[in-house]
Amino acid sequence: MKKEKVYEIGKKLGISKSDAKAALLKNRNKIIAVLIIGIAAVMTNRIWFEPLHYNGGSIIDFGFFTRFL
Amino acid sequence: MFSKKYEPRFGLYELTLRCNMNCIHCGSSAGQKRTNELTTDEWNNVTRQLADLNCKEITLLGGEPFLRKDWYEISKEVKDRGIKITYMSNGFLINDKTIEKLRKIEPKTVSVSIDGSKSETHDKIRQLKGSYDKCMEVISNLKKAGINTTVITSINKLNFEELPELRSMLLNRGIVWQLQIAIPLGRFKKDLLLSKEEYYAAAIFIASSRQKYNIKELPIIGTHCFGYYSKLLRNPMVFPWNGCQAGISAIGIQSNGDIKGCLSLPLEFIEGNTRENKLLEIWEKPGFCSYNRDFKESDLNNGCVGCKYGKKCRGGCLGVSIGITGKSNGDPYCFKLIEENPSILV
Repeated sequence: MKKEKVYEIGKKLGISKSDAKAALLKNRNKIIAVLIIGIAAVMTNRIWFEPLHYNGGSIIDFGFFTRFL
Repeated sequence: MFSKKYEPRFGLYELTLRCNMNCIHCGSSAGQKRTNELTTDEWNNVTRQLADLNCKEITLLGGEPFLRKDWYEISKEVKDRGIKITYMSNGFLINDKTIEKLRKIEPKTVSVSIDGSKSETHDKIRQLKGSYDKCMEVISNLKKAGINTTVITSINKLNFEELPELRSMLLNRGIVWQLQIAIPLGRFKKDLLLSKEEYYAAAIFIASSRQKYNIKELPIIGTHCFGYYSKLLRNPMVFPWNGCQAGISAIGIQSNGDIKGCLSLPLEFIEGNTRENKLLEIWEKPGFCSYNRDFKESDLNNGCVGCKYGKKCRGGCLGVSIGITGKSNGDPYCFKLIEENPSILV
């Protein structure tokens, strides 16, 4: 089904095109979700587990932030 | 062997089949009470058994649950067992005394049915004059008393076009709005069933409302029949669809003690009675809710045959599938099906 059809069906309930657009999934959201999960995975590994194991219990490895500078 | 995979976390009690309304869409054809309905002690015994089975939430419905004089005693047992309680009512009988008792119970929510934005529509569907005004007043009173309140609207051809107006009425009132489609079971006639196009339009309406208004302005949700696996629409439900939960995490108990995986299912799905067996025995019985527990992809029917989500989805809502097509595991009101074959909308 094309998006235009969604707008057309939405009209049955007086839903404007802009409101119907809001109901649509956006690829941008999927990309953001993947990025957030990816970053979280990296961060938890770097900031949480690594210091617990190698930094004598310090929760935040500040070295992580300067590592890429 | 009993598996934790199947745990009756959600119990549905049909407290009585007696009802003060005669709704045209009632799936249980409620009105007269069943012969030999469970007594207070028997319901409380059921609650104790469910608590032992790790039940987390019990919904009291009917019929009209508040027609039972012992609804408070039954509710109290649920509360005392640490189980959350919700009510589904037509609202008509909820007075100040009821509200006072409800405050003691502290329910998760009290759901009241409103089936139109106009009194004529609601009263016509509910077949009780003055019910709209009364129920709207009850909703305000429940809110004033600090009780979480939900409005449930069963959408059919008579009230479909009133959804936008009803939304305006519920805005900024702190009331949850739950929408479901009326299914041709019980008294509901097929000619009032939404067309697939109207169903899809209602889904667009819910999904767009969820974007347009934040959760404080209007918490709006589609029930489980608003699915499944759309590639275009945001999910109108709270959670993604994971298949019918009858016999997986849900159990329904009729007012005469008969057990079904879900109360929406027809009589042929009765699989035991609390008076004859303990709930644990029924729940653990091999073959209980086999339509879900022993589901095979070859069980799929109608447009669901060959669907890649078939194993997980199990053909959508069993009640909707049977109500509309007469066959199980083939709910035709499916986003994926509609989006892949828009020609079926014509």
